[in-house]
Amino acid sequence: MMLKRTTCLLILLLGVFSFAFAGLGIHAEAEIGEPEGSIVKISLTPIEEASIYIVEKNTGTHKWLPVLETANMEFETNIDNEVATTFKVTALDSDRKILATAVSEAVTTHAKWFNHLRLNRFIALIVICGTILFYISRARKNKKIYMRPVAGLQAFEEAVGRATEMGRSVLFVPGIMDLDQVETISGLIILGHVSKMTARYEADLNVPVSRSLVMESGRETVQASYISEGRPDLYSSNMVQYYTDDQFAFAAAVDGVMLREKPAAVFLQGKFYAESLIMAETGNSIGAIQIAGTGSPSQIPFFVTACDYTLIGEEFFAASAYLGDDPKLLGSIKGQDIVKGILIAAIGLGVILETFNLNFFKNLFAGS
Amino acid sequence: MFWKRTIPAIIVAAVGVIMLLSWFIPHEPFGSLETHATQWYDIIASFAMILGALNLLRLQGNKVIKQKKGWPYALAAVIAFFMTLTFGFVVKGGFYPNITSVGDNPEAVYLKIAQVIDTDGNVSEEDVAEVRALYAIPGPDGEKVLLHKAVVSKRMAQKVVDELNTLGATASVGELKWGSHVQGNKTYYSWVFYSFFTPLSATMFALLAFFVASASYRAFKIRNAEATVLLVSGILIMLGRVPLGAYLTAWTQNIPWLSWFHLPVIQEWLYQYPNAAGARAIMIGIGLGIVGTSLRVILGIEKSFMGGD
Repeated sequence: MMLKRTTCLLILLLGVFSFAFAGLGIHAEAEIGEPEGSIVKISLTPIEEASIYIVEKNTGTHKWLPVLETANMEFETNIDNEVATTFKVTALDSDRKILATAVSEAVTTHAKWFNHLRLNRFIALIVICGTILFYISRARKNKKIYMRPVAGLQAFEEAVGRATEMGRSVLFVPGIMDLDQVETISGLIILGHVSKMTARYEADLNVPVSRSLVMESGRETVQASYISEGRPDLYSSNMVQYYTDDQFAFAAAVDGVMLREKPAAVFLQGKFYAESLIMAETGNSIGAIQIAGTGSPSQIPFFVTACDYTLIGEEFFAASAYLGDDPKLLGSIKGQDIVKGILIAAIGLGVILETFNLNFFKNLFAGS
Repeated sequence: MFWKRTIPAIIVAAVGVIMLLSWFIPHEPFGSLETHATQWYDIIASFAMILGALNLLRLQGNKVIKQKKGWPYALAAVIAFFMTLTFGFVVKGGFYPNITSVGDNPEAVYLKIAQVIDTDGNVSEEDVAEVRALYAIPGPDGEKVLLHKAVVSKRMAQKVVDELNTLGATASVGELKWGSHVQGNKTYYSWVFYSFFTPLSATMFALLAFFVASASYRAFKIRNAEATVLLVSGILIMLGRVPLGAYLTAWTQNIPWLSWFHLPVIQEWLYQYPNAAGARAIMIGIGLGIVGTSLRVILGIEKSFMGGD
C-alpha cells in the first residue's frame, strides 16, 4: 500500500515538474480525415513570457517560409501533398526578442483515392446513370416509346417551312458560350436537325456564332446534315460565321443581321445571358417566328415573353431525341423521366419527414 | 470517317469518364486534372481565335469588296480590327517622365508631378503629399512606382521631362513595357478600349432597359388566366419592393389578422415560395437534362455536334 502511494506521488510530482520545466515545443500532425489531404494540425507547447509565436515551414530546402504569427496554441495550415514539411516555432516576448525556438518532426500529407464526403453524390451518379443506361438498352429492344407533344419542338418544321414560303432566311444562334458548356453542345445538336430541315426545304441558313471552336463544330454539323439530306451542293461554309467573343458586341452583330436580312424564323438555342432579351426583342420587332431554348433559368422569362415558343429547361435538352428518330435517344429521355419521378418522391418524403422534425433523410443528401 | 468521327468520339468518351471520376478522386494525378484540362482548353481556344479572326476578316472583307448590303458596317469592323491589332502589337504609346533624382528642389518637383498626374485641374496640398509619399517607394526596376500613373503622350512626356530637368531633377522619357501597355492607362490600346469599346458595350447593355419595358408590356397584357396571374403577381412584386407599397398597406400592420396583407410581406412570400418552387423545378429538369445529354455524348449516342448522325 505504502509503495503504491509513493509511486503515485512520484508520478504526480514528475508530471508537475515536467510541465514547469518543459521548453518550447511544436507538434505537427496530418489531418487524416480530410480527403483532399494538405491540412496539418499544429499544436505548440508554450513557454512563459512569450507573447507571440512565429511559425515557419521548410519543404526540404534551406529556406524557411513564413506560415503565420499567432498567440494560439493550436491551429491548422495547408501544405503541399506528398512533400515532407518541417515546422519551426520561434517564441518572442513583448519586445519581439527571441526567447526560444523549436522544430517539429517532418510531416507529410496524402490525398485519398476516394473522397468519402462525396459518397452520396457518387451513389446518386450511379443511380441516375444506371437508370438512363437501363432505359437506353431497353429502347434498343422495344422501340415504341411515347413522348408527349412539345409545342415548341413541333413548331420547328413550321418555322422553317414559313421561312421557305416567304423566301427569307432562317437564323440560328447557338448561344454565346463555348463548347465547354453542355447548352452549347445541345444547341449544336439542335442545329443539326434544323439544318436538315433547311436542306430539305432549300431555305437559306445563317448561323452567327461567338466562339471560334463553335464555328468549326457548327460547320461540321451543318455540312453533315446537308450531306445526309442529299444536298451537299446547297452547303456553304459561309452559313456559319464567327463575329466576336464579346457578349454585347455579338448581340449588336446579331441584331444587325436580323434588321438587315429580316429572317422569317429565328432559333435562339443555347446558353444565353443578358443579351437574350436584346436578341429576342429585335427578332420580335422584325416579325420573325421565334423559337428559343436554353438551360439558363434566369433567361427563360425573357424568352417566354419575347418568343413565340420556348423550350424550358429539360425540353431544350430533350429536343434532339424528339426531333430525331433514334430509339436510344428516346430511351435516355425515358430514363431521365424515371429519375425525375424518383426525385419527386424523395422530395415529397423529405417534406413529410421534415414536418415531423426527422432530419436523417435530408442529411443523406447533404454534402461538401 | 474514322479520323473525323470515331477518333473524336473515343477521345470524348475517355476524357468524359476520366473527368467525371476525377471529381471523386482527390489523389494525384486525378486531383489536378480539372485545372490541367481547363488550361489545355484555353490553349486550344487561343489557337482557334486565329481561325475566328481570319474568318471575320474574310467575311467582312468580302462584304466590303462586293459592296453587299450594309458594307459600310463591315468596313468599320475591318478598320477597328486592324486598328486594335496595331495598338496591341505594333504601336503601344504609354510614355512617362522617368525621374532618377529629385535634385535640390524636391517640393517643386513633387508639385510638377502632381500637376501631371492630376485629372481634375485642381492640385491640392493632399495631391502633393500623396506624390511625396509615393515617390519614396521605388519600383521593381528602379523607377518610381508613382510614375506609371503619369503615362502621357511622347511629346507631353518630353515636355514634362524638360521642365523637371529645369527644376533641378534628373529625368528622362520612360516607356511602358510590352504587355503592361494593355492594362496601362493612356496607351493607344487603352484608348481604344475605354473610348470606343466600353461605351459601345454600355450602350448595348443600356438598350435592355427599353427592351424590358416593351417585353413587360406584352407579357402583362391580359389574354388568358395565366397572363392574369402573371399580371397580378407582377404588380404585387413591383409594389411590394418599393416604399409606396409599404406605405399604402402600412395600416394593415395595426390589425394582427390583416398583417399578412402588407405588400412587402406578400411580395416576399411570392418570391420565396411559389417563385422558388417553380425555379427549383426547372433547375432539377435542367440538371437531369445536362446529365442525360452528357451521358449521350460520352457514350457516343449523340454525335451530331461533331458532324455525325
